[in-house]
Amino acid sequence: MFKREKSRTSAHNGYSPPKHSAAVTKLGTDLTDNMIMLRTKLSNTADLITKELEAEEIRLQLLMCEGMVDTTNLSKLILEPLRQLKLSEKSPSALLDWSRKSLLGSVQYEIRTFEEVFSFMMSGFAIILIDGLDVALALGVQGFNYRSIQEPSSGVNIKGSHEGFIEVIRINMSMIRRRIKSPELVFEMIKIGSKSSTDVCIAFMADTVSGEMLNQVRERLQRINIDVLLDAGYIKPFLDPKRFSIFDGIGYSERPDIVCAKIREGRIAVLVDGTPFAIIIPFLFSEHFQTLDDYSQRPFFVFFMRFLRYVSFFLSMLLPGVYVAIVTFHPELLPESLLFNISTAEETTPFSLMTEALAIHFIYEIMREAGLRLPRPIGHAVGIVGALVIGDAAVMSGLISAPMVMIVALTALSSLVVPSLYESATIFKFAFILFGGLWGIYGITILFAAMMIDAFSVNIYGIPVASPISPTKLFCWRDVFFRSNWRRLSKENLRVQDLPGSELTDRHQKNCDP
Amino acid sequence: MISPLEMTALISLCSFFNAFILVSDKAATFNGSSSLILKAFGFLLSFIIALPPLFLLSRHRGMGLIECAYDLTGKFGTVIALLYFCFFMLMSLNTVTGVEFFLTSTVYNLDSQFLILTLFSLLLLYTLYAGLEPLGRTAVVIFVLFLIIVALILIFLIPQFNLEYLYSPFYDGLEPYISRIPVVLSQNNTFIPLFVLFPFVSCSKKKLFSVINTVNLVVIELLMFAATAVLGDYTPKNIFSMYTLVTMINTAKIHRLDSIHIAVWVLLSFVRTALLLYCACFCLKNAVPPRLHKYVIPFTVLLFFAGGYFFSSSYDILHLLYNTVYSGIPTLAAEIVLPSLLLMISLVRKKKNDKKQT
Repeated sequence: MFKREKSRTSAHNGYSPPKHSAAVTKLGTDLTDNMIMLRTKLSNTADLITKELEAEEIRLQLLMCEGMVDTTNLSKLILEPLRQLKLSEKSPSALLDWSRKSLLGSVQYEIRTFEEVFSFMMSGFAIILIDGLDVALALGVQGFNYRSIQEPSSGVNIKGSHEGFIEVIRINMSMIRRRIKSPELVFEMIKIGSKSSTDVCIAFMADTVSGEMLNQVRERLQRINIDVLLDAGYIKPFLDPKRFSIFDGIGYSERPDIVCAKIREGRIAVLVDGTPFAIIIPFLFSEHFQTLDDYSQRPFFVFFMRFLRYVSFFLSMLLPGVYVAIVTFHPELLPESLLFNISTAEETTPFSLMTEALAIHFIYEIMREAGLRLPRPIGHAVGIVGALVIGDAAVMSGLISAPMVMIVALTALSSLVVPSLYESATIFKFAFILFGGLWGIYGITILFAAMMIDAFSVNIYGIPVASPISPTKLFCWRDVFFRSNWRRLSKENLRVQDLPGSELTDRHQKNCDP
Repeated sequence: MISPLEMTALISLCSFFNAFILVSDKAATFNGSSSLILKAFGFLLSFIIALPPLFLLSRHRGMGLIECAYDLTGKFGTVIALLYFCFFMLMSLNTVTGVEFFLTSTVYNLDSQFLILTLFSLLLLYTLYAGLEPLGRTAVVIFVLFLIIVALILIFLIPQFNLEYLYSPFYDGLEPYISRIPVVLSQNNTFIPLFVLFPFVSCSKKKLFSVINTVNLVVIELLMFAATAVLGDYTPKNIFSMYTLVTMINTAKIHRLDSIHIAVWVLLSFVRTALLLYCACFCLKNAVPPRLHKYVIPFTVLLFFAGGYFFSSSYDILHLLYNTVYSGIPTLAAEIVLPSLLLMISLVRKKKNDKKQT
């Protein structure tokens, strides 16, 4: 009852629609005036390339941005035909007519405002302005440099595809299209960022997506009011309805095959130009424990691997906290020999177990951050220094006990098994150490209950993120803790809006109008 | 809305909390086996005392007890809602003081009651703001964990079973049973939240009621059997018999399971208190004007915190609380008297309507 009221009120505290501060200015018919206006608006920017041409005694201006155009294509497809042009009627409209029919480019648009000229030019198009006409031609001859398709750095798999997204949105779209050759796959483009005008693409399957969810995503994206959009991470908070939870219901993937699998189940992917990741909405908690290799390995092994991942995730959060709680408050639970070893080690250290655990995990996080941001060779050096400092020097100097080093090592390894949950696990790890050190098992249990409430209260666009673990339905467990074989999986496709606990009303139907 | 499974988990966990605590009677002369019969008797009793609310709610489909009260008595419904609010507060205080007493007397003898209660209250505040759905989903996971742990406890205790302890439960006659009726009655009031939250569950209510009762009976009887077979006549005399039982597990591989017991019991008490406080908030929300709705949760938790601190401040006050709860009067009022009153009003109104029509 209280939850519903809260969500109602939060709906009104939303975002304002994107505002474009620049007023629209139409092109004139005089080429000189147009060029003066263009240079004024662009403040004579250094990367603007203009070339005045003449074809059949008609003045033209070719505009482009430096480094954005493929010059070979430009000369072959535009300059050469223009040079050899012979028109029966020498008028600007005849030239435009000829250009429409004869000039080649990957795509061609007719534009009428300066804002469109800037937008196309800055996206790598060549613009032709013709004297005497208030219309310009935008020709697709893009040729900027970009990173080639490579194996993704995260989510590496053994048997599946080794292709990963790159920074160019159109190529990312093509990677998805190549995998789903269906008319039901729809890409919708919008621009976000009043200054950057970044291309953002919503990808979904028209026959499986929930129209209700799609409309909410569209609405939230259109409401984003931001100057410059450089990364998918910028828009993630705008798409997340529950902003104050440690867990979230939005995921990332660097792999086109994973994105295809997700949108086939009714999810929505959002691609942002300049980001080699796709945002996936909604992303369930159980999906953090799935990898693409799970679908090419045998089910019994997949069950074992998933069990390992779940155990690792809980170890990465709970192990140091529980260790501190048990040794501090419940030593009677440990076998005598282990207790003796721990107490001998602890006798030599000056700090309490909780302080020790907090300090050593803090040092580990510092080293991890340092190793991550530095160039690779220096990063390795940080790793070696860290291993020496923690593993040897700290113990030898009597600052940290040897069993604690073992606990840190095990926790650190476990936290790398499910990298997408690293942020949540790290925050909870520190909290569990603190609660375990102050209140023992009681504190650990209280925090564990709070963590469960937090995880189970995340509801993204009407779909509980903890589904199908709880709320539960046996059919949906076919790919949670274990994976059924492909014969069973292929019998019926599971859609996110049909998950137990889903509040979406449009189920089992063709839901959207592309 | 929550699913039948979630409601089953919520109510069952509330009942299991009671199974982990036997209101002891150090002067009790009855034997350990009687605990087995007392639990079964308790469930039979819970069926009988649930009849008035079940009849009432079957006549008013889609309503809970509070909605029925408003529908049948108009403005007097506010008084009934406030009475139920007091009942739920009393039960939640009984639960939390039990946990607090257990922790400070058995586990953390040096810990501050204030800190334990503060931590618990903060968790409840967060849970109440999150709503019933996350609580129900959490309850399902805890329910599964609980069943696994109960199975483990039973397996590890098998070597320590002494079947000689299981002599006739009627060895001391019927007197122990008669004297403990109020206590048994008070321990089987976990269905009142179900009757208040009926509109939030989407399934056949009678079926749900039967399923919950069967699950509870099987699990609790198994636990009681293990307790009696291991502890014998010490079972009814020990306040925290399950804790004692778990401390006796000492196999070669698993050293002791005390911490697991503490964790499980705290989780059970959390679910039970959160559900009771949710019901208390629900009743209070119905009783106060809409402009005060936003204060209902903080007020309830604050009252709970103050009450918990007050009742646990001295043993005499705590004893007063236990005497009130285990007298059986609050349960009798909430599960029999008030629903019966509403049922009678409902029947009289129906008769009047029938007469008018004829």
